[in-house]
Amino acid sequence: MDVRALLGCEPTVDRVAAVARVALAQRDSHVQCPRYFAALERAIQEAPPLFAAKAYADTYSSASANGQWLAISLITAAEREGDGAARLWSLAAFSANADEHQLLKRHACDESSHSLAYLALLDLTFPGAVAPSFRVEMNQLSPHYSMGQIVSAVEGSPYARTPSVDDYIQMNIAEIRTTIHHFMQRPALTAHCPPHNTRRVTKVLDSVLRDELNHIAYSAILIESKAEDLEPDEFQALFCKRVRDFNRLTSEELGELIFD
Amino acid sequence: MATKKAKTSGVKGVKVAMKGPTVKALTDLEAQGRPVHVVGRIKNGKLEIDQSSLEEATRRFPNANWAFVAMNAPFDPKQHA
Repeated sequence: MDVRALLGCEPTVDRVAAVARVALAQRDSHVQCPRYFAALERAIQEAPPLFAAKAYADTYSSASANGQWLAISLITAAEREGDGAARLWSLAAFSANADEHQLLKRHACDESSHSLAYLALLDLTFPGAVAPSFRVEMNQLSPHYSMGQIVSAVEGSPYARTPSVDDYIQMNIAEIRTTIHHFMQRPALTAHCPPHNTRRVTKVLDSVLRDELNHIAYSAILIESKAEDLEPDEFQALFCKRVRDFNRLTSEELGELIFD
Repeated sequence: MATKKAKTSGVKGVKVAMKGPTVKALTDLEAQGRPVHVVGRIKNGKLEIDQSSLEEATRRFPNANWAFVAMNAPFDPKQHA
């Protein structure tokens, strides 16, 4: 399966592992990550992610039919990407391994750029939806990290800690959900976007998707390598716990929208 | 006046909280092509969206501004393993 096939895939739980497989194949077709995939597949079998359900996609589709909702969703995404960038920047600051430090720094810079990318999508899809003064303020949602900067932990951040396999599992699951959100955003943005901006919207989305898949792949490779330091049962239990935790988080975010 | 039951999805056990009259009101609103307008500010680095803008967005789905958010980093401040 490739990215194009993934974009057209039905929203089912199978798409979770498929996203990870496509991500890894895009980065390096020779890397297999058997421990990672075995743990991921067992975890999602035990606790199927809510974000992979058809009802989740249907709810997004209904909510995003409202342009006002979609515009606010893009602004909120910009805020969350900026916040995520700061967490990654702090983790990078505490990474003793040079390769991991660079990967986390790159990741933080990407998310910092994605914060601005979501604002670009807002501009392109809903021109004039926000007052110019508010729009200028919104640029503060991105920390504007760059690879030329020296990494230092964000003061008071609980993520100013040495990154562990747990951190990589959490970010991997979160990135898979963000990628699935991305698949839902594409048709929604196209539906609202003025026709003369569609090509530019697609270009921004393609760039963000490429980065997200890369983040899934590099975190999977690090998880595979760090899994060696844990007993197999301990590794599996941790993976299952984090998938359950993330399901709970997703359910809390949805609040009154969807419930079991 | 009788109100319609909440709309349910096709997935067993999963319910979409969307009432009939609200759906109709929104459908009418969207058909009229109501312009998108978001009012807010950034205060101490935090996003603040005005209640009026949020109400317009979440008329169909209360609290929907917290759903479907992007996340790309660890989510638990407490580390295990």
